[in-house]
Amino acid sequence: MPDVYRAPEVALDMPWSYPIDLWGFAMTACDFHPSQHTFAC
Amino acid sequence: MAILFTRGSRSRLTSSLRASALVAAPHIPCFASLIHATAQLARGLAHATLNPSCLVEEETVRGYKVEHYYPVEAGEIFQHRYSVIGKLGYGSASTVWLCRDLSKEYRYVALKVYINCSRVQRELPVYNHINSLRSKYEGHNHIRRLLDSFEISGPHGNHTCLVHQALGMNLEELRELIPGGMFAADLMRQSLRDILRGLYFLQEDAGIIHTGIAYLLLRNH
Repeated sequence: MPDVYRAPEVALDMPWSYPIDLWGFAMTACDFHPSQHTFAC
Repeated sequence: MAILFTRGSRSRLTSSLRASALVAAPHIPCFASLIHATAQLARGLAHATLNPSCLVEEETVRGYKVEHYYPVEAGEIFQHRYSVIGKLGYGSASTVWLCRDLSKEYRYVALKVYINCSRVQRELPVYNHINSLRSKYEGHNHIRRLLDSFEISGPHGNHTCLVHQALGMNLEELRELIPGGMFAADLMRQSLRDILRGLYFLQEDAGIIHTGIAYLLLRNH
């Protein structure tokens, strides 16, 4: 996954599980709006 | 999951998608070579020559080796039933082709041909697990179905092949067609609802973590 979409626990190399899919879903929902990446650097 | 090759890590989502979909475009001589080859084919020439230094589609993936990929051709028939029409796309480990299923009323399917050195085939066991649960849960309707799988032998090794139902354009492609790039509220709500239903099925019923949900708006299977 591109960095900007990664769940925090994945980016921080912590144990991850089902919740990362909810994070991804939230990122998808945000992307419906045509503006910057939600967490653009 | 397929990894999109993008140039420049800070590009906006839509522009990075365009860059990967039209890989040759940023390099002007390469693009001209593609146009020239297309014109040759349009004039009825059986073969068109492409500048070999011009990298196209999967050739642009890091670590690309031509021997890894199976040389699919339009008109080729797999398993005496899947007749190749044309290319749908590619990933870092596969190419995807639109086919007709000759044994099922010529319905359209998408054929994904993996490279012959796939380290671990992760998708197939997951799809088989989902298919074994299909009939019991409603959410499976929102997950793309695996219809068939088989192995073929190519000039340099064996290739796993997956057959999926052929899908229409994805939401990102649809957005490019809408002026202003704003979806109607109803479409958004319905799409998000369907995604959640599929996700619920994966998590609760199938015990699967997708790991690539943010790619839902992106292309290609």
